[in-house]
Amino acid sequence: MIHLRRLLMPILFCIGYTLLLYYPINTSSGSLPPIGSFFNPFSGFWQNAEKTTPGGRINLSGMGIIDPVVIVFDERMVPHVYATDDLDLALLQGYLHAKDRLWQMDITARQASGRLAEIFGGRLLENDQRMRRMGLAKTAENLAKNWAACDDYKYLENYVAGVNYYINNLSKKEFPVEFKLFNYHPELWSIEKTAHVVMSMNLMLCGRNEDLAATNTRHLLGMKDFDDLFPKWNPKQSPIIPSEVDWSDSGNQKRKDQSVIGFRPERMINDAPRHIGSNNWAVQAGKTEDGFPILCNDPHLSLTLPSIWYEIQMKSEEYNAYGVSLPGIPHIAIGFNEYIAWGETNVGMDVSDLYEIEWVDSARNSYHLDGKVMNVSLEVEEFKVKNAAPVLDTIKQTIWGPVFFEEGRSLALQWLPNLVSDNCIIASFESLNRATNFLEYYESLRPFKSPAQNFIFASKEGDIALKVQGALPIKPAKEGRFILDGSKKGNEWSGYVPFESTPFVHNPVRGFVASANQHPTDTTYPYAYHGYFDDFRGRSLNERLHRMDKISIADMKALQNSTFDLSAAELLPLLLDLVVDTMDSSWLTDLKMWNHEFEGDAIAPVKFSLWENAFNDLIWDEISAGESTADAEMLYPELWRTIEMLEKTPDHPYFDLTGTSKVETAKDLALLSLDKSMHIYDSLTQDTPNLDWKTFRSVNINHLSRIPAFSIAGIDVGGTANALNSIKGTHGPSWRMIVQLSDPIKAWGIYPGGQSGNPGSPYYQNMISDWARGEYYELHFAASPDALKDFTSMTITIKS
Amino acid sequence: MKKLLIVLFWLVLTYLVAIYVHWFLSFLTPLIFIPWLKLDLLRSLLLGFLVIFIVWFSAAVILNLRNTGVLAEMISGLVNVSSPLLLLATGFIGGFGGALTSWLAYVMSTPYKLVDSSRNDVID
Repeated sequence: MIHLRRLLMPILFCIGYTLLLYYPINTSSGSLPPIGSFFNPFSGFWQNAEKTTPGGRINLSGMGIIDPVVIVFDERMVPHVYATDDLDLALLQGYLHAKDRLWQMDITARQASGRLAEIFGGRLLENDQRMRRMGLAKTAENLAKNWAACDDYKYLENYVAGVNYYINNLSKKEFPVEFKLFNYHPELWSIEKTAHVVMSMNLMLCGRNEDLAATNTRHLLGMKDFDDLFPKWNPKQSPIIPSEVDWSDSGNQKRKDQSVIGFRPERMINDAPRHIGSNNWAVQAGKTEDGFPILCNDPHLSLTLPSIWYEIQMKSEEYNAYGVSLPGIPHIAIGFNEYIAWGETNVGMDVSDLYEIEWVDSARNSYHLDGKVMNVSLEVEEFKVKNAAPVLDTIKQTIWGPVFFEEGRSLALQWLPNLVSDNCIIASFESLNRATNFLEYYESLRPFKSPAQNFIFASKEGDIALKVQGALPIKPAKEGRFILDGSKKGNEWSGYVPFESTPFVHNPVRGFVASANQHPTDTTYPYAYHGYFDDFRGRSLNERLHRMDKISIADMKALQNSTFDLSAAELLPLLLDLVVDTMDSSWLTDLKMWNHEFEGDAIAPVKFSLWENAFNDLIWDEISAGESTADAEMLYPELWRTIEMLEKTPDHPYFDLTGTSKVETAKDLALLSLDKSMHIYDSLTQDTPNLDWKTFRSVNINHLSRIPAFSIAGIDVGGTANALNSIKGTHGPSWRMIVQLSDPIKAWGIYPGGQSGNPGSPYYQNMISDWARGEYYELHFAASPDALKDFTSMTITIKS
Repeated sequence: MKKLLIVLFWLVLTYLVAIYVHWFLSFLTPLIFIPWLKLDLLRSLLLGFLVIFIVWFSAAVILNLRNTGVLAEMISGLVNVSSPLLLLATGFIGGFGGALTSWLAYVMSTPYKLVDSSRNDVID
């Protein structure tokens, strides 16, 4: 008995002690990771310290590969996959995406499905609720089901299997460091998660809604002034499709604008910035130095770490494409194959409308529609919240879509991506990756519905083309710009522009096709549309491509990196003319001498930017005063309209300041704003003498979780929103690509990041400094692994 | 000499257990070695701390060297310490666990003496 007690007591003591020690050291406290499991060097974060020389054994024999495959990683760790069977390519693309970007894929899918609070706690609950309310998760679910009917479903299934092969063989010590930091496990991938990533792209590229702001501003200013300050068409505009194109299609019918006018105190949270500035262009052989067509593309998206793009070459017997892919989505989104090159910029059409709901009674469960009573359908959504009880939210569905705002007057949201359940985006990319000529490119776009893109094309055969592709809702002239009356069914969209009628141009006389998010067409296009379009880059690009001849690759690189800002070239002389006879200073001399280039080490752009902002603040004082008085979201006129007013109506009533007895003109505002900006500049330069543009306008590439330690701040780079090198604080050229359609094809590219999503990898941010300097890497579009032998960092051979 | 060999054996075993079984079990190895070494409380605590500190610290140093400090710099920024301090902190967390277990191991080995001495049958 004594022996038993002597044996049992220490064992129990040991177990108790182990539990006592294990619990605190392995449990997270608040936002901190569990100290023991995070710090221990055997499975914690130290395991993510990748070797600087790539290598190690990767055994993929159990993956289910049909035929032998070789993967060669080049000097930037770009994988070149050489397979025989296409389905093997799918498996390996899934595997490689997961290997290098698993956490990015997980968090992107979680964001769209409204599941961030599960990981980050209650502070992201509101964001999750907004995502579910917008319908992203539900639409992703429908998309995933409907993709079964799209071509290439088997490829998608294999892609998912490739991701899951990686996850299933992942030990805890191999988890990406973010999983360890936020203390959760990766979930198996699914087709629905791929659909979530697609919806995340939709949110970024076509999720903007300014109906609320426009309605409030029209209420504040009155219809006449609103139309004066917010005209739909900039007369200087140079559209994507040149005016020579004849629109033989018939236009849509006009309807009376039935917008509801009234203040709404809520604010839309727009995830997409107003102008996501991307450029693409293709020039015909006759305009180039070497006599080959050249295609260029630089999509300007949110600059993040890990980067939004993953570079890859995939080759099988029937498939050989190189370019950038989106982790979570199979195929290559922007790239080239042995015959053609393609790329995209965002269209920017308004595909999101708000409808005011007229409730039958205070219960708010039924609403009026054309005199009938309609019941909402109720959907209860559960939100898991880290360290808190789950939260339930009821979403009311109307014929327009979910009720988005419920307090006071209720607004329902109709958003295009929720309506196009036949959006076979992956099948479209698959066909594009395989296309060999113009007709195959054209047909490959047919299944692509959203987010609408300007698909550019060039082929070895010498064709160039650009098609504005996506489901473009047919709306009457002003519909969709303001909040609509949700009690009238006549306010619904009248279908979509037929595929054959979406704006398109093929081998134009001018010898090039180009887009920079500007208006797709001129005013003769028969379908009315509204959107968020660029007003300067497109003009600048078209004008320069018109001028250019004997174009070299160096010219194309210089054009993509151009920091010239047309808006500054138009606005600054007007401002200077207003003040030149009143004020003379070295401050102004700098601006007079300036070439309107936003170079990183230039000082004049800082002075101009301060002056422009101060001037804008003064002009639109009526709107900003209304915004603060009513606490309602407002819309501000675009810069091109300000320039037009200065050019044509310098005594426009809106130049008069509301708070003064004097009647101010543009000249008064120019002087007042100059004085203010000089004072601001003086105070800024007290702390930072020689304040240059790169310091003033800091460019940051943030980690997706916004952890500063995993982000890169203060990048030494020029550019500005309205320059072709359109770099704003956290947005900019996310991939620069130049493809010469010679034989063999030659291509150059770079993106601001690295192939690895692991902050502990030498390939996490290795391309950023070269990208900031405007440099490019030659892309190794190699026909076989042997052709890569001089650039090989690592090779994986997989036997079937 | 014998004790030094035991400590070396302890170090190796701790490495192997942490790598091939579970990192937490590296904390429990003092339960074997402290009673074996028969040290006083202070020496038990110090040795328990030192052995696990060395194992954790050296493992982190090796990983850090082959990574040329890339990750350490990132995590240092996250926790607001320098990279060398991060390495030391890693060793200290391990050492702390080792010291606690060594204390337990020492305490557990003491009741044997108490029980046995009450029966005038001291077993050392």
